[in-house]
Amino acid sequence: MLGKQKLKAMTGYALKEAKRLGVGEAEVVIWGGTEELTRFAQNHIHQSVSLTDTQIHVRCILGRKIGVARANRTDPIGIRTAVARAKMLATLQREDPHFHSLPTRNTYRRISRPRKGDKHIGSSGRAQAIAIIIRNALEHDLVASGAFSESDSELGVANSHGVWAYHIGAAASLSSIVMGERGSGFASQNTKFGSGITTNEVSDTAIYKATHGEFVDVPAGEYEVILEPPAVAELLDFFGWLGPNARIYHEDVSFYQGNIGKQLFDSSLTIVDDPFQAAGYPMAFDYEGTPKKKITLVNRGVAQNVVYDSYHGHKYGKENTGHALLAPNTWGPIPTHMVLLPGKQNVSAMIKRVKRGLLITRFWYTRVVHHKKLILTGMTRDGTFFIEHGTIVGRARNLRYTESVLEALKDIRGIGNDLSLEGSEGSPSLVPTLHLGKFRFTGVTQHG
Amino acid sequence: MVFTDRVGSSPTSGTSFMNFDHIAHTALNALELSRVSYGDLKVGQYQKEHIATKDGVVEAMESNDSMGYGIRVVKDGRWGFAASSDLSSAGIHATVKKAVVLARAAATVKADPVILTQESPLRGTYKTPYAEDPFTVSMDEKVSFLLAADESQRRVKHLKISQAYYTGWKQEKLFASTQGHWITQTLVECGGGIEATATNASDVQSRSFPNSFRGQFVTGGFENVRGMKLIDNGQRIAEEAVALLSADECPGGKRDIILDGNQLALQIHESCGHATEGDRALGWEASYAGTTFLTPDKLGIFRYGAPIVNLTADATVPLGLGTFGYDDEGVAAQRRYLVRNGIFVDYQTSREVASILQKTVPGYDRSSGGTVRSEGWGHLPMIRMTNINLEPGDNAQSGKAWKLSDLLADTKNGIFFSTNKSWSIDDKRLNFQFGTEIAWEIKNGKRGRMLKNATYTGMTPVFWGSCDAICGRDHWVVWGTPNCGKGQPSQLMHTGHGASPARFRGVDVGVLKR
Repeated sequence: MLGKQKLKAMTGYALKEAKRLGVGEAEVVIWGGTEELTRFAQNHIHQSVSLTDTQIHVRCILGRKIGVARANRTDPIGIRTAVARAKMLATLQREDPHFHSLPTRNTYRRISRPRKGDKHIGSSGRAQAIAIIIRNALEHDLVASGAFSESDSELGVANSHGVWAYHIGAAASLSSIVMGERGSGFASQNTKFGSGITTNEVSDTAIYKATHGEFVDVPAGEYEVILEPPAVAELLDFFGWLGPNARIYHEDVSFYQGNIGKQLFDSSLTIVDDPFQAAGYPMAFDYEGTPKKKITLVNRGVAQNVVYDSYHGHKYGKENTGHALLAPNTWGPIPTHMVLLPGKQNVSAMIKRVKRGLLITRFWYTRVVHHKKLILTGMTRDGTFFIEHGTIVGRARNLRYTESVLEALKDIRGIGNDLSLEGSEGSPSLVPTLHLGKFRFTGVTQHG
Repeated sequence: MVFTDRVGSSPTSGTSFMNFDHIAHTALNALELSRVSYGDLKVGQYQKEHIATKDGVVEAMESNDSMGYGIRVVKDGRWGFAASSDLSSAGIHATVKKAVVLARAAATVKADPVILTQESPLRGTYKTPYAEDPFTVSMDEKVSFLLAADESQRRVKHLKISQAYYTGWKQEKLFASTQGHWITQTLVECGGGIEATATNASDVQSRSFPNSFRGQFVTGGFENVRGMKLIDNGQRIAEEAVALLSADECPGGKRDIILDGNQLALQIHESCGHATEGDRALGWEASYAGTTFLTPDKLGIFRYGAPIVNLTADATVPLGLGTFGYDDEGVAAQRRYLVRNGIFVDYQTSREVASILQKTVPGYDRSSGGTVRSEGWGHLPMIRMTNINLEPGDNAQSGKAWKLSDLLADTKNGIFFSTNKSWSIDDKRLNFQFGTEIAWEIKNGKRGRMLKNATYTGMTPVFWGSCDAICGRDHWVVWGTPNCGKGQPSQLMHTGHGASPARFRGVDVGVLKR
């Protein structure tokens, strides 16, 4: 980690160099840090890795011609080289008639700082935690695998209009899959520091999922489902990418098109993009240095807002909502801090209300089948359980679903009170357990 | 003004392998001082340039240049890996030390010690053969080329979005080990494609050429991009995208299907490529990508597919996106059968995985298959697909080298699927479902109506067991897949898949109509 002052000096040096070369507008983003990850399988640690790097990204704009260069050499020669390359590319570019300007200077909301005692536990601490998971698995004749990662990162954004923004981040994640004769079980925790992970909770949940229930035959068909947070987060990722994304919304590729202000979902559903949630990975600005703010995407089932960066905001005459990704971004601005607001029900009470359905731990390999209907397909994985008359009566082999998320979210029968942080630091979401009235499964595999 | 103490070459002046030498010697000295039982390093410079156009506007024009090194050690019987872009002597020593600390931490959990197969410590060089270095072709020319390809689509009325793409990569790297390896390689890759999209109130349909997900990619020079005929095909794919909006939905039920080569390539990737990764078979990917139904007890005896199905891992095939001289642990590129005459016969292996298979699978005596690679310099080398190929139909070996026209004529009631749109498979690589951009009904040997939202689904060995015809080498193309994800932290890898169109009998199609 280089620190705020060094990053500020580096971005300033790059901007001066751009000015010296006659570049009218320039943006410099520098980010870096260290990520360490300890991975285990077959009841031992088989991979233990670390990566440290710093990268510089320079966007030079000549009139409306834009060139971008990225490099990881960040000494003065490296910075000058990156600036010169970005300028050279801009020189060779064609005018982009939709480009207006980079954002101007701003102030940023202060985000939550680490609490006293928050810290990374390092490779030996991670190994100790993994040893606990393995010991617990062996006591149940199970085979444990998983990963424990910790990272520190920093990001500086500056441009020739006076923007300077600095962010420091940390993330930690422990996941475990344990496997036995009855199938596999998964559990994970995501937070900011390894010291905040409760290893035994992860271990106990994964073991319960792997050992609970005998296999029962569950054929493909339509079922009520209880989706646990990892499964909900996977669906929400596709919602964010294909729904309130300004680029595809205005291209008429999004299911949001023509539906703003309409009741698209069950009235119990509210989704916001809230970058300031302390329980998540808070972020005060986007990759152009525009301040972030809370945006309501779905309010009581009504599609509400689309998110913008500076380019799409200008192109379509809308306010920039602070959702820029690193330029050049050909995917469009997307909400990266989604929160599906929790309900009041606990999961065991939700299960009791299921007549005939499935409890799903998580989905795997989800892909888009139909954009405008948001039909997705994927598999269940690591703990799929069959429920009859409010009781889990056995475990199911993994099933393939092919379902319209738009349709599925029209019939929400319960929202849990168990908000959970899922996903990575780059695209986290806070989601509860959901009880849906119907969900279509189109195939079954041979294992569970 | 000095921010970091680095000794690397200027990114734009071309890599000096002498600087790599200095880094490697420093690292090897540090490894010797650390008394590791094994150590290796990969130092490399990775360049990328990317251009994307949309609706006649160049929306991305960027270059990326990254240099650094990754060091792998075996200490106290376990692996440690650390990577850094700090090229100073102090940085290299610190990175070696970190790798050792990571290995020692891993060793606190009981495990069998790492053992590698005995391999000759190779010293050599390799360079991708090409006629025209993509990095010396002017950006201005590339932009003009893509804008013309973009424009060729917009001649079609009612088209919503036209896009064109180009990406080039160059990696210069040195691999050295404490066992005496010293290998330098320069790999050059490039490719591109076009994509036309049409929409209406209820539907979105896209057509791509030569392949979806930004095109076709090869190891080779820019002459391959020039030869792709992007401009010639722009109008056709745009017309198809618009026509798909009013096409019939793919019917449901069981049909004989013919997969075009570009779709079959992804079928091979997902259901054979990942399924035959030796590390998955040993459970090492269980925490993320999953395991495989092809467990070691099935080696040499399990019927994976019909007798005409022959699948190889071939890192030597010209133009393949998984083609190189040596893998990232110094093993020479090679060609091996994974499935021979329909029987599962081998895994993709590393030195460690081959060593474990030698100990645990009776009769397994093969050395490493040379399939270890990592994304860039900063990630752990692991087993990655090279070019996983379905060998073409051959008159001598598999009954017949079909022509596509003959295969269509030989099919009474079927569907021809082309160009992937959606792909999903379970964590043991058994249950899959694929969708393609376009399909056509086949009735009594003739290609009929266009079908949209076409999907097919099945179980891997049942599906490959139903393969009864494979087109010959005239139709065979090594399709490049530059976006294969695996590992934690996740790595993207470039792989290739040689395929020609093939027929499969009695497959479930049209999931949306069931």
